[in-house]
Amino acid sequence: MRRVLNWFMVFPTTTSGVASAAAACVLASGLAACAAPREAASAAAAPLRVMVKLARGSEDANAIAAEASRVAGVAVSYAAATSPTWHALFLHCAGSQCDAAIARLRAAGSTYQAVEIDGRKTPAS
Amino acid sequence: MRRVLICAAVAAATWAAPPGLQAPLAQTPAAAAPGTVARVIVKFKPGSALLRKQTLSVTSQQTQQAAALGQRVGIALEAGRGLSDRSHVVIGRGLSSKQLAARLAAESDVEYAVADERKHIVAVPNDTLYATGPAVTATNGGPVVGQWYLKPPPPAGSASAAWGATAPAAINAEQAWNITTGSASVVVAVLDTGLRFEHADLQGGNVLPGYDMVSADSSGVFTTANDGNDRDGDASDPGDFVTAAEAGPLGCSQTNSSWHGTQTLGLIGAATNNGVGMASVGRTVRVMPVRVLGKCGGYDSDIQAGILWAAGIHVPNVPDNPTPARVINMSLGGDVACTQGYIDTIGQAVAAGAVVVASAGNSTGHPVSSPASCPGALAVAALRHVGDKVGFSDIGPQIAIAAPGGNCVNTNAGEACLYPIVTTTNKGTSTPVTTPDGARYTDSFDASLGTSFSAPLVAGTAALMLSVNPSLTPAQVKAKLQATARPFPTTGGTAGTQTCAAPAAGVDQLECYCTTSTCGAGMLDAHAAVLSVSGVQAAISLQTTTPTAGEAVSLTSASTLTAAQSIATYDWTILNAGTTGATITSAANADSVVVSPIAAGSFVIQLTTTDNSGFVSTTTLSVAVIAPPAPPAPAPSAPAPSGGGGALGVGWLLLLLAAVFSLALVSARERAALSAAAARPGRTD
Repeated sequence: MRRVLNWFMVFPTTTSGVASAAAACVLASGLAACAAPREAASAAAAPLRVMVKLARGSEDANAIAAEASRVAGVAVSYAAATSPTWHALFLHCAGSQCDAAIARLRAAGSTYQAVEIDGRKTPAS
Repeated sequence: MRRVLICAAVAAATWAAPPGLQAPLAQTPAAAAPGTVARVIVKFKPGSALLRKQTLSVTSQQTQQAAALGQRVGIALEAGRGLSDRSHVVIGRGLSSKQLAARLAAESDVEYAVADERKHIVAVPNDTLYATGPAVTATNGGPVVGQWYLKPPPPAGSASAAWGATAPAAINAEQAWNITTGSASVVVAVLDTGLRFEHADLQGGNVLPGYDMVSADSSGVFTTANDGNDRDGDASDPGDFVTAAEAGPLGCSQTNSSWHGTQTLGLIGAATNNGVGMASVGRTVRVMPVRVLGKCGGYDSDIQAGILWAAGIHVPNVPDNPTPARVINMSLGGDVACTQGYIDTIGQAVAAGAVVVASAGNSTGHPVSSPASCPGALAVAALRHVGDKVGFSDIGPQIAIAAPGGNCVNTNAGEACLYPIVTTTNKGTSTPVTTPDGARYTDSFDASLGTSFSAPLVAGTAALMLSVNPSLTPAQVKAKLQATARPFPTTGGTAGTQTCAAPAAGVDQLECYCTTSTCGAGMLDAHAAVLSVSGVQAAISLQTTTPTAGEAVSLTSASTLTAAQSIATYDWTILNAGTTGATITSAANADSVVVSPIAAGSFVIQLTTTDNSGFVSTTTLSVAVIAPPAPPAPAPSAPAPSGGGGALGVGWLLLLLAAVFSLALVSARERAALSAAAARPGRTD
C-alpha cells in the first residue's frame, strides 16, 4: 500500500530529452519494456540506488524526490526512508549519466549534506 | 598474572555474593523461626580493636573476635569460616541472617556485615544438544562436544586430552546463568534475514514480532525482499536462495537459503532448559527479528533504518517500535569503509542506549568490514576452540573482543566438523519447510561457521549484563566486556601458527595468535562480564544547584536499587581538590556528604559503595565551583566623576523613589478599604 502512495516518477524540469523520454516511458509502462532511447531503457531496468542526507530533515517523499530530480538532472523516484534526514532514492540513469547526476547532488551542499551509493551488505558467514 | 588476578577477583566476588539480588536463585526467608541459625559475613574495619594480633591461631583469634562481637550485641556468636584477615563468617541463633547482619553492621568496628545466604547452582540446561550432539553418521550429526562454546573453559594450561566437551575459548555462559538467566525487560534486536517463527525452539514466548525493513529494488520489484512486498510487520524469512537467473543481475552467486537470521537469533534467544534442542546465551531475554537482508544481502539504507527502528528511533512511514532494543546484533558486513550513514545511525542508536554489536567479517584476516568498523560499534572477531584466531575472521584495531566462531580442526571434505557452532535453522533449500520436521539445528556437517556466530555470543552476554544492571550505558557494557575478557593464548594452535599481524587489504592471514591490537581486548568471558556488573553500581547526585565557593555543596548517593539490594557502606573521598581547596565537612561514610570549597574551580569527588552482597563499586564526579557574586557596591553619595556609575546610581534612586511612592499609595488604599468595611453593617471580621 505504501509503495502505491510513495512510488511515482518525477519528471525533471531541467533535464535532457533522453531522461524525460525515459521517465515518461517508465511511468507509462511501470518500468517494463521501454523501447527507446536505448540508454534510458537500460537505466529504467536497473535504477541506481543512492542515499542522501538532507540538510533539513523531511518526511515528504514526493518533495524529496522532486527536488533530487531537479538537482540531479535525471529522473528520480523515492525508494525508502532511513530517518527524517537520510533517504534512499532511485536515480534512473546509466553510466556517465549517473556519475554526473551524483556529482550534481554532491555539489548541492546546501540541500544535501551527504550523498552515498546505497551499497549492499551480506551475512557474515 | 592478569589471569590470576581476574580469577582471584571472580572467586572473591563469588563467595561474597549471596543470591538475594539474583532472580533465578532461591532466597533464605527473612523471618526467624525458633531454632533459626543465622550466618553473617563480617568484615572488621582496619583499625578495629578486635583485630589486635594475639599469639593465637587464626581460628582461635576468630573465635575470640566472634565472642567479643557477640558480647557487644548481646548474642552468642560462634566463628565460622575465615575469608581474609579481616573478614569471616559468624554464626548466631534465634534470629535470621539478615537480622543479625543488621545488628552487627551497626557496630563501630564493623566495616560491613551481610547475610551469608545460600547460593543454588542453576542446573546445567537440559537441552539435549547442550551436552553433546546427535550421533555422528556419514552425513549428519554431531558435534560430539555439543554446545562447547557456552561451557566453562578448562583450567588454564590444562592438557587438551582433559578438556572433554569444552575448550579454552568457551565463554562460560553456564556460570553466568548462576547470576542471571536474563530479564524479559531486555530486548535484543537481530538485524538479519528474518526468522522462521515456527521453529520449536523459538516458542519460548520471548520472541517479538519484529519488522521487515527490506524495501523494493525498484518500483514494484522485490527480488531482494523475496516476499512480494515492501516494508511491513512480517519479519518472517521467506528464504534468501539465489537462482542462476537471479545471480547475474543481482551481482552475487547462486546459493541455497541460509536461514541466517534464524541461526543468529537462536544463539541469543532459543528456548533454554526446555528439554529440547539447544541452549541460548540470553535464555529469557526477549529477541526481536528485524529483517534487513534478503537475496544477495540487503541495502545499507534498509540496514540503517533497521538500526534506528530497533533502537526505538522514528523511521518515516514505519510504525514506531514499541519494544526498543538495548542490544542490536548485526552479523553482516561489506565494504571496509564506514560511511556517513552508518556513523550517523549507529551514533543515534548508541545515544539512545543500545549496544550495537557487529561481526568483523570473514575475509580471511583482512581489515574489519563495515559496519563493524564504524565508531560506536562493538566489533567481534572469531576464535578457534583453543583461543587463537580462526582462519576466516577479519581483524584490526577496531575489534573490541573475540568469541568462538566455529572451527573444524583440519578436517577433509565430508568429515565431521569438530567445533562448529550449534544453532537453529530450517531444512528448506529454497523456500522454508514449515512443517515440524522443517525445524532443524546446524551440526558437524551443516556447520555454522563465521564471525556471524561470534557476534551473537557477545550480544547475548551484553543482554545478560543489562538484565542485572539496566542502568549500564553502551560504553560501560563495552568497557566491562573488555575488562573481564580472558587473555589470548600464545600456544596451543596448529603447529607453525604465527602471531597475528596488522591486517592489509587483499592480504590473507589465516590462523594466528591474537593480540590486543588485532582481535580486541581478549576472549569473551560471559560469567566474569555479568559478575562485574551484578552488584549495586555507585552513583552520585549533586544536590546543590550552583556550587559556590564559600558555601556548602551537598552530594548524595544515587544508586539504583532493586528490592533485594541495599548499600552496606559508603566511602566519600576528595580525589582532587584542584584550586577549590574543597574538603569534606561531614561524615564521609554516610549516604550524603557535605563538601566545602573555598575558591572557584573544580574538584573531583569519589564515592565507593559496598552493597549487601559485598559488591564494591566506585564512581567519581567532577564538580564545578563558581566564585561568589561580588558584594554590591555601596550606593555612591554623589555621581561618579566618570558618569557611568552615576547613571546606575540615579537609576537606583529612581527605583527607590518609585517603591516608596507605591507603598504610600497601597497604604492609602488599604486605609480607605478598612474605613469602608468598618462602615458596612453586619461585618464581623
